[in-house]
Amino acid sequence: MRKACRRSRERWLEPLKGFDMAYSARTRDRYRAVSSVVTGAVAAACVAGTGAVMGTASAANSQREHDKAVARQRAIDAQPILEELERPAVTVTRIKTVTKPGPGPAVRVIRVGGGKAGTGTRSTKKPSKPPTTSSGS
Amino acid sequence: MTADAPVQVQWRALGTYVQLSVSDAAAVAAAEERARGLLAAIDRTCSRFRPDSDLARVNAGAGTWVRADPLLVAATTAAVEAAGHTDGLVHPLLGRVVVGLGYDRTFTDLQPGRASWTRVDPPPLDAWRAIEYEDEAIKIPAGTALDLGATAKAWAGDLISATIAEEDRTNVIVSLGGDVAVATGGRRPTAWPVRIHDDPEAAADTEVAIEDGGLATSSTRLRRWTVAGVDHHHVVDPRTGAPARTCWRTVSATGPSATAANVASTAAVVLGEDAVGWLAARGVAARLVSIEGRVTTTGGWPAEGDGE
Repeated sequence: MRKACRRSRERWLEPLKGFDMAYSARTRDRYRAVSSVVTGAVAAACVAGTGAVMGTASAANSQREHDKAVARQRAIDAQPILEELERPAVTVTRIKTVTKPGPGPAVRVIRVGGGKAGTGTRSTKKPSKPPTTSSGS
Repeated sequence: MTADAPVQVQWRALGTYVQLSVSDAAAVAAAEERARGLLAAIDRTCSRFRPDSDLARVNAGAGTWVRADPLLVAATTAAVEAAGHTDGLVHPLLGRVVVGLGYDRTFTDLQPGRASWTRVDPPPLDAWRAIEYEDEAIKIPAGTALDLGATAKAWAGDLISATIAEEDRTNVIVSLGGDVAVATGGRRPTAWPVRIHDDPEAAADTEVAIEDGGLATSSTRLRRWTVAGVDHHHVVDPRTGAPARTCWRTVSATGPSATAANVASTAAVVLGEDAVGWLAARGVAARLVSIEGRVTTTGGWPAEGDGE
């Protein structure tokens, strides 16, 4: 397992190579935005003759991002490598879970109040399936 | 066994009950094994009560980046999104608050009538915005602690149902302590009956059928404990740091997923009287039962009349 952990650490180091620091889409987007600023700044500087100023600002932004990434990597590297039992593999379907409250499935009332009829839309045929419970938890 | 002969298996995990039904009886053994494996992995990574969990390490290292299993990162991502959708009413950083209230071990291990509890100021309502995460690391603000109790079970239900539908090609419904997730495995949808209870040991209040998405019930009648003579329940209002003082004893809500449904039902309990308008504005079909037993419905939930 120690070997596996070392491999894992190497994976963490990789993003710093070549200054492409990001794993996640969120950070990548931020990096792309910085890149766009750099590109736009250079173009504007050529036209307006203020390249030196703009370029300096962009470089400062990039340097800040780089410094943050280095600091994050150092913090992670400072943690001890855990000697832990190998975790059993599980198959996980990668899903993008919808977390925003909103309209859900159509609700069909089968029974109300321990068999007492309700006033809402009710089915006349009860599905012959084992019922699932939804109680507070 | 034949296809389209639904069967159900039940067991306990994550400190609550698990019910798993599949439309293809031949798939039940594989589905149960898959679900048990996922739940074990989620417990190992996301439990607040295991000192060896990734979540415990993240909490111990608050203020710094900490390595974490991608499962915890995914669960945290869902919790942060939930906070964003509710302006922090469903808050993932109440770990220190609930421990202060005495909920510092699994609910079944809580000792009745403990002598003292500590009032811990809740983090700011927008503190969740400072949570950062990458594929395999998380950083939470110093002085805070993650508690994914408000969203993790529903998120786990979504993950399990999607995985079973994808891998075993069967329709599936899973309930984790009342957070119900439905997925369709390339077949005609199944109308799954769901019984809604204030208490799983009591007779059902009502029974509905759903074919997809999710349904969740939040209740202040369960997971109650007493410390120093003060009665607590587990739905904490992040605005006060105390158990929500609410006019609802149970809120059931549907959504496009179990997570979305659970976010709605939990926020409704916290909001109290404002919940009906909040749910209606978002088109959420919900059933709210007041402390006195009066039923109110919103969205597409069929009305039942009062005083059932």
